[in-house]
Amino acid sequence: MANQIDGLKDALVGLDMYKVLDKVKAGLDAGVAPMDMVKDLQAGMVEIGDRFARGEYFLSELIMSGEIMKKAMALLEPKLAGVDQEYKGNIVIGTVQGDIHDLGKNIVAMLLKGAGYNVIDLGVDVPAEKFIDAVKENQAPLLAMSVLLTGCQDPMRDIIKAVRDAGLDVKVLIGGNYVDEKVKEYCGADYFGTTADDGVKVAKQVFGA
Amino acid sequence: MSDKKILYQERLNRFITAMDVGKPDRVPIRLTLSEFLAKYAGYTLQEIYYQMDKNIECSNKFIQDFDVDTVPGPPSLWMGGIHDATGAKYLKFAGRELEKDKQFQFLESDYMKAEDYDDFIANPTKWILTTLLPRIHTEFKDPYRAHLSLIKGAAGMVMNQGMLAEAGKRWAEEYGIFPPFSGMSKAPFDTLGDVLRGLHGIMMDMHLCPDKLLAALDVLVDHNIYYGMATAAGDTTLPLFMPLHRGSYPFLNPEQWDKFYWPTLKKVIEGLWKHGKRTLFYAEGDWTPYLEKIAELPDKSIVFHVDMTDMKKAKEILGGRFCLSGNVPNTLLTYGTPEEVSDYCKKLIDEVACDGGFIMDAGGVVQWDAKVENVRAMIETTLEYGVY
Amino acid sequence: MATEDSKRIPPGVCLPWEEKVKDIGEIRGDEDIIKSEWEKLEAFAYVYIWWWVQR
Repeated sequence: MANQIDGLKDALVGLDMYKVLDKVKAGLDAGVAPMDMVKDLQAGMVEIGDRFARGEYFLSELIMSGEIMKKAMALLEPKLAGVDQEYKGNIVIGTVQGDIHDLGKNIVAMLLKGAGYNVIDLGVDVPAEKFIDAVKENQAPLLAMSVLLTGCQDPMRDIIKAVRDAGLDVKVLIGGNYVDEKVKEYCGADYFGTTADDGVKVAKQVFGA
Repeated sequence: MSDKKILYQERLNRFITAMDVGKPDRVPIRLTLSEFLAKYAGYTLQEIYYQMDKNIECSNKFIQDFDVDTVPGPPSLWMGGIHDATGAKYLKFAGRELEKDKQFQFLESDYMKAEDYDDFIANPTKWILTTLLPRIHTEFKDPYRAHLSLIKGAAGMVMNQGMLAEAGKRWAEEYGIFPPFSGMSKAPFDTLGDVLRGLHGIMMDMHLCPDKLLAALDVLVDHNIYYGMATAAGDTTLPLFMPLHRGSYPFLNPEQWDKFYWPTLKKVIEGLWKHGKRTLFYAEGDWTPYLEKIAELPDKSIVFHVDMTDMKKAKEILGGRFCLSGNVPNTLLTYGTPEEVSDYCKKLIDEVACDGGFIMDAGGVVQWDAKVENVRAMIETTLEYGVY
Repeated sequence: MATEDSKRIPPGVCLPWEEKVKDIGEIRGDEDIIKSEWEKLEAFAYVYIWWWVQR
């Protein structure tokens, strides 16, 4: 049965959208467990993330693979109901209040999912309460906040303060093009990231896996 | 000649000498300030997005208080009223659906679909008017409201242009100062990728319909040259503003950059240069890997603006043939101290500006988070330490 | 064909004078006067239309 999905991972890594979708459809028709296909696709995303880290892939490849992944998951998700997926841990992610840029956040979320984490994506323009509720509800050890506009770094600081004041035991990662050590200190975050694969690096540290 | 006229001429010579890669009397200062100006002048963002007189007043206030070589701003390029007149679905403004001191939000999407390519290529002007504008605005639901919205939009644009022209005259006569650029245009890839196909759309097009994408980019070359010259009203003294987006590292892989981004951008810049129009190559983000390619452009045809590009390499590869500008980090202007800002500027003056061909500016457009004392430190350091 | 069409209409023009002049029919005075005013407004309309996408 595995034959149907041989090369699924490679097709994704090679960004061959039609091949990926054909293989997923063929796999479903042949009764391949959807979870096995998800695992192959995740392995593909990990490989894509590694290639990005090595400078072989660029954002265009990450975005294209994300679009393929979206289309493939649209076929697979209806068949996944009732199947328990094992995760390395919960991560809450979102773009901070006042900012609606989601390119970086989406890519980081996609790579984290690919690496086997359960990512709770709150979207854009997310206020403090929403972050806090999601961290509590999911007992997430890692909260990742994205910001592009430098003018929204102040609200980010306020959100982090609110998270700390709520007494939550959570590590905070901030990410964005204009984020650096200075911004991290100013906002009181634990980690900062500027490139797509930094999220996975930090998650590995936080979760030890 | 009046004092202001002399001052105007001095500043203009300084600016032009630097753009021609020469050594003026001191390093010129151009500041690219946006919402910062509103905060400095004491206006809400709603006021500057909606009320064009207050928008212009922000620049007046700044040039009364600071000795800079070109007018910064006005802070808002967005005329809220025009977008209400047409019912823009893609913009949220302070004071309307956002709180009155929040930065406007542009909702990016694939407003042009992949299926639109053929019509766009056949006649882009017609396609924009008959397909795109009705699609992205709510006021096109019946002919009465549609015609009305286009009349109001055009009238709003003319009124704003009139006010800016008036302000330009006053800036010259009363303050002896001029705007840092005239006219604007884009890289064809950005025209398609920013507002039309959106980032995701254009990234997929490179894989799924590369030939159509290339054909559309080709069609845009002449339009983008014309648009630049038309919005500059033919002026060739000041450079043309060209904000560059998707060509920064690491959006595209090198083959994509060479195939999709660069050829048509190069043609636009060379086309403008044939008209005698220099381009302010406002390279947002990091462009380090592409410096060698950019060096293919005709000498002096651009001012290469450094945001996060490696300044040392930029100087090594482009210096002597092109004026460089920028590079004071926006995070430093927000979180740093005046001493740190001053030290950074001195370093730029010592290491980059030393041979001429340099204009002091921040790396990116300065938003409302920058500290006034840091902006002051940047100006004062350049005035004192930047004398050749 | 697509590319033919875009070649026919250069930037700065929305409705070419050559098409308009057919509607006008016989011009009894100086055509250049009418044409140049037509073209000025054409150029304005063109920039206005493109302003919505060039930003």
